[in-house]
Amino acid sequence: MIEGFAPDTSPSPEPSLKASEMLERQRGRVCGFSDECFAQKFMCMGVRPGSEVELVRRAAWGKACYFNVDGRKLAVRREEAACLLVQRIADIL
Amino acid sequence: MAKKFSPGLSTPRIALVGNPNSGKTSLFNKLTGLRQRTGNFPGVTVEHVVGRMRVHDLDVEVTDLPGTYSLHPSSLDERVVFEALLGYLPGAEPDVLLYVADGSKLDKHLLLLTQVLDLHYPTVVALNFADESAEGRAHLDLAELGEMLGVPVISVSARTGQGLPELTTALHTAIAAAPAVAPAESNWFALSGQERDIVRPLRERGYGRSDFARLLSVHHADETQLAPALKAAAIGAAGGAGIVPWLSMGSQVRETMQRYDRFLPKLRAARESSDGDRLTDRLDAVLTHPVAGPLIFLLILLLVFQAIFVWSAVPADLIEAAFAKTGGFVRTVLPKGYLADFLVDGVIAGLAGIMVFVPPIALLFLLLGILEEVGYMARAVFLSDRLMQRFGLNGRSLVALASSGACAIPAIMSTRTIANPKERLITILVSPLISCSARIPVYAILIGFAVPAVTVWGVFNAQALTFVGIYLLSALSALVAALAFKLILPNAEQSYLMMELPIYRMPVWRNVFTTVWVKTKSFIIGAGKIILAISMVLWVAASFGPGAAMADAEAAAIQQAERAQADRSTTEDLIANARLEASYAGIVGRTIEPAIRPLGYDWKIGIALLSSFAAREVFVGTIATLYAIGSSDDEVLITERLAEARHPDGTAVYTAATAASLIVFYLFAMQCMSTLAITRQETGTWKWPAVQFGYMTVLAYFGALLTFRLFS
Repeated sequence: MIEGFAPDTSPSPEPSLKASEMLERQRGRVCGFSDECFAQKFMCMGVRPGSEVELVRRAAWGKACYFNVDGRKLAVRREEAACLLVQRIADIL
Repeated sequence: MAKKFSPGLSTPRIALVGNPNSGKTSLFNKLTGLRQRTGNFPGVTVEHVVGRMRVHDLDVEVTDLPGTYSLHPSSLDERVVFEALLGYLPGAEPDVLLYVADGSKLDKHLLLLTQVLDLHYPTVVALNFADESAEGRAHLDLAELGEMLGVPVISVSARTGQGLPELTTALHTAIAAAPAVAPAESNWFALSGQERDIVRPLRERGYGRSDFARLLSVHHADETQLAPALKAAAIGAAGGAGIVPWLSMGSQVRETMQRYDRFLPKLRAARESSDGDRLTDRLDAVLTHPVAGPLIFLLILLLVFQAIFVWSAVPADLIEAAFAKTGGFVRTVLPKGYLADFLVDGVIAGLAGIMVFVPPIALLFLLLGILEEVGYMARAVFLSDRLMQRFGLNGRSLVALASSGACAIPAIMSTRTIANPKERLITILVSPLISCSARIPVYAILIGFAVPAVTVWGVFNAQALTFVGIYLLSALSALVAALAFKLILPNAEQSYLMMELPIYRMPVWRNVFTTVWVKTKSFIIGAGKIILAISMVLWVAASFGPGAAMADAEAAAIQQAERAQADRSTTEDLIANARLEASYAGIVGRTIEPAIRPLGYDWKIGIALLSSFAAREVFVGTIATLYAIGSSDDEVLITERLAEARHPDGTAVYTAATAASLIVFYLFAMQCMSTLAITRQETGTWKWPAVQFGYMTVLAYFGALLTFRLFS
């Protein structure tokens, strides 16, 4: 976890999980990053602590993920998504 | 030093800055029209697009900088922006910035703007897509936004031209005010105590436009091209290169967070998903589907190539016929002799060799341009990233490899978006293996010669199937070569995919046609110069020989013809052949004949191969020139002439085995000086063009050898 990135302020009992481990159509809120280099790239593209993240789908072979972050659609590799820590909001059924 | 712009004096420079997908290039095209050219920044070799526009009474130079998300660069494209805005490239600094943002996604597009504002350039902000987000931006108060940012904000649409008069007026005011008085403090970011200590010595020595510019220089002094004195000072200020990476990354993250924290609360949150978003979601459910997505992608690729072969054949044939007619006409008006020969066989043949490529190249750029404009290219990258990674490439390499089907030169230039140096280098090295349109006429002649035009399996044309096979082989060889380079080259830095998938939009046709026009024009001028020069040199080399050698050869041929009591046309052919053999070109061809004999080639093919090493499309012209000289009948098709060619022992020169061997040779060989030059430019050293030339030549020679053995 990067120092200075406060987790989301809303009280949440859910432990954080890696965005790469999310299920399809699952939503979460970014609470931190586990790698500074990727963090900088993510934040430049508008993914920051507090952002709402939805895993839209995975590509064939599951290595590339299609995320919707606050209305911006992003293609992200699984390794890149693994550094993005999120707290689950709700599952869309 | 303050400079004032007035009509007729020095030309003011505007640079367009913005995120990818902000419609920046659209706006650039709308502002400058076709008054565009590619140029180099002085002192560095990175190309960029420059256009001109009128801003009321001023003639202004406009630069379209690559799209970037932040001033902290990670790819070469982003470094270009960094260096142009604060690298102090002599004479390249813009006077005014035009910042382009997507008005419907302001919360995303303001980060870069706050960084740019901290560089203290006079800036005008254009909020693009006014035509499609009318209701979505009802909440936007431009005056309020302008006051918050401290710069004029104009709502525009690059598609419809809405808002452009207001934008021009704002630019005129900004130019008149340049250089603006620099604000003392940033509204968006405060340097920490440690950072202040780092930038202070730079400020005292007069470097940098602002404290933020100085801090950026220190962060990225290692990886970018700053002026040497500034670079030394920046590294010194950071306390030596050792502590920079550690210090830098935390500092960058802190800076970015601070900017968001300062501007986000000032934006009125009112973002709802637009019609475009909803349409995109529905389309992507199919187009990026794990199963349907790749299948549709393959189908699109097949359609593109089908279109190029079928549709471009018609105009290409017309162009060829027109040049042949022109040549015939020139022969009828000019007296027989060197001038007519030079014009017809040298200049007109050379021009025809350039112009026949225009239809396939323009068509491929048109189709790729449409795919890019609608937003599909980003999906293709998403779908193919995994496969590409296995071969040491990046999803983004796909765009380059697909463009290589038209021409390797723009393809290699498009690799600048690949952040990882190793992936970018491999993409550059293997791009020329993808068969470009310049090889189409070579294949067409050889296939026409070797493969009968019969229908197989009921539907397919055997010649078309051979074409498909050649393209599959070229794609396969590129992937295998990439894999080999992946294993050989040392592992470099972290590789990224992380890219935005823009919403689908109807293409702005002006953008598509501008791309086609600019790229086709640069092919005609760039490659054309070389092709034309070579065909003229070749004509001279084939028409003249050392001393009296050619006259002697001619006399011997006449004697031989008299002995054999040959008719007039056979005599002419004998004389022409003897002269050619005695010419400079013949001497060179004879010299290399032993080396290419195992591949099934004679010395005439040798000349064609050598001249092709400058540009492969010369092959057809060369063969035409070599076999045409002496033959009075221009109506005979090249393939028929090839079939008539004989080795001295009477066996045919061109057999199916020779043709197959030549196809493989042209498939693999690095026969394009322009590509080598662009590889040199993009990699910054002669090492990589040398490697590229070396491995491809080895591949071509042994591939052709193997093919010839298999078929004969």
